[in-house]
Amino acid sequence: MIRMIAALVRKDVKLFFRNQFFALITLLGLAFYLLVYFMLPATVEERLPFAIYVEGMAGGLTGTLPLGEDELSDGLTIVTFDSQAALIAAVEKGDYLAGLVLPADALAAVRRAEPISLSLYYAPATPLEVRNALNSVLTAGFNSFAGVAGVTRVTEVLGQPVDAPLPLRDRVLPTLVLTILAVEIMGLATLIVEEVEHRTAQAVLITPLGTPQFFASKAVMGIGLAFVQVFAIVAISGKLAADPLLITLTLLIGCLLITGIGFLIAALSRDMMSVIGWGMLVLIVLALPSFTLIFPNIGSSWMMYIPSYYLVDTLHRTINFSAPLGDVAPNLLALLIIGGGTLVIGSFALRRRFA
Amino acid sequence: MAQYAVSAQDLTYRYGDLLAVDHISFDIPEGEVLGFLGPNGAGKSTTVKMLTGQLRPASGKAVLLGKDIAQNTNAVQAHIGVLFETTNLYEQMNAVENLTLFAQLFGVKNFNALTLLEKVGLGGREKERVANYSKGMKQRLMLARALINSPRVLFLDEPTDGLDPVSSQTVHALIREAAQNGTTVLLTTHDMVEADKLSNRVAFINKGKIVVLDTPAALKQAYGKRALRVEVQAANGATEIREVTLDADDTPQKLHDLFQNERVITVHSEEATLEDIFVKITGRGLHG
Repeated sequence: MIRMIAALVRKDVKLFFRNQFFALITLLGLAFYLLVYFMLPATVEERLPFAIYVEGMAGGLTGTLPLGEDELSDGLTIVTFDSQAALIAAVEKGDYLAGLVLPADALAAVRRAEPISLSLYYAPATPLEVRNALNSVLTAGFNSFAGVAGVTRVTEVLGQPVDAPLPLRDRVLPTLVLTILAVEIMGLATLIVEEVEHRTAQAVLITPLGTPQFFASKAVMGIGLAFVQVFAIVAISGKLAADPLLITLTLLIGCLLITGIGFLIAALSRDMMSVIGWGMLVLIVLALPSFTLIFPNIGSSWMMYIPSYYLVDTLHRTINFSAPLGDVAPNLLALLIIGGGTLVIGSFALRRRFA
Repeated sequence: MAQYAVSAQDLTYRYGDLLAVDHISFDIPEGEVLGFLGPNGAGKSTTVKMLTGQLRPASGKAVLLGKDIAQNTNAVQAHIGVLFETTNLYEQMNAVENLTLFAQLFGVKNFNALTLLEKVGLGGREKERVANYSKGMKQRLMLARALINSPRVLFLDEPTDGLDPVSSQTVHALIREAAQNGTTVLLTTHDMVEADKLSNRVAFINKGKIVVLDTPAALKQAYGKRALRVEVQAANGATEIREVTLDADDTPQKLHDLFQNERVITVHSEEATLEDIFVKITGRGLHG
């Protein structure tokens, strides 16, 4: 049985690379993904864009405030707003790490050493250490201006803090992995559809080879082809070092899901064009959870209903935060169940197609 | 050893409301070539699909080499060879790669693709991609593929359809050789001459039923006209036809007179062709 599956896999690999379209897409794609990864910034943006609105000064103080060349102002850009609503909207949008609303009588009150309360609006993606630093700077600054400790109280509003800042390339890596996998869905589905379209499946299935072995060979091919590529990109990016075993396991289970979806698309498609049609639709849906890593503001709880969420989230946490197996086990279990289920449903649908 | 290499027992198959194969039964002894003739949509391909394990019969069973193929599909398929009507080769691979793949699937030990390719007349073209082959070359490669496992039963679906005469002769020679080596052959074809030349017996299938099954000679005797058709040249130079009945008392005298008194150009027996017989039995042509 293994001999037959191995013969079919060898044949599929040969045919895959003789299909110039998919061979080119695969090799160029891999090169392109690596290029994108390495061209993205490896460091976090060190500029601190800060918004400010002084109550009662609408229209009177807008634009970028000039700052000195001292250490405190290094990298700090302060932009004033003419209304509290405009400030909140800009911070919410993520244009500024934080925004301060200064009450009209704040400076006079500080001068009189009276307690003041400041409202600081944070963007959801503003890291915790930046929040702490800004809170400390503002509290200390106003206290020293008053000459009395403990007069200033800073209230945080808006989004929850994130743990640590991440370079863009690290946030994009799970998206690249998912894109490669989604393209491989189309490659796998095309291989199967071509076997049906050209009736070669009929020829091989009239040998001692059974339908389960035929599907097994396609599954090995699908998982293998997808895995080699995503493993290569994670390894070349240097992120595999975070936890080689756990990351490899996650990628393998992810490939299981992708193979199941590939089977489903093959069962639904009549030719290569319909494979591409279904494949693009699936690619868009599967990619949604990965976008939340790049644009944290668009995250929503319903993303958890997209199977790729568990792959993306697990990869993100393992690759970027070295999360241990215990932390991501529920995700992996969900991915395994969904991936295995998809493979079973896909095989069943394909079997019906072949019947 | 099984008494019959192939035994169709009350085979039935439906496509929705259409009864494609209607309780068909026949047996093929080992080493026999059975011609399976019928017009498009008569149920030939569906019957072959059931006999080769590609379709499960709605009722009845197909027994090959003593085993019910529905129960022992892969075990029986190890001993059969199938030549499909439609080309279904891996066109981006070459001939050797195509044959080697199937040899591996059949578990053929010490397989030599080149010997088989020489046999089907494709020697020297083995490294070319199949996509570049002509229809005749593809058909011969498919026949080579069907012979990889030295099958005990060979199913051939329109093996020479659309081929040039040279390719057709090669295919015919290979079928004869397989039959001489004891392979049972089920030959599905539209070509009456081919069926007549190669088959020990022929079965006519029409509307899902076998309407007649016998040797070509017996059918011709039963349905043909026992007469000679003689072409003679008349005194004015024109060609005239004379017919001489074979079973009459004065047949020898009539023939003698013809050769004595007239200039005979050709003499043909007026036996019916298989197509004539098919039309006579079913009331429809084989190409309809």
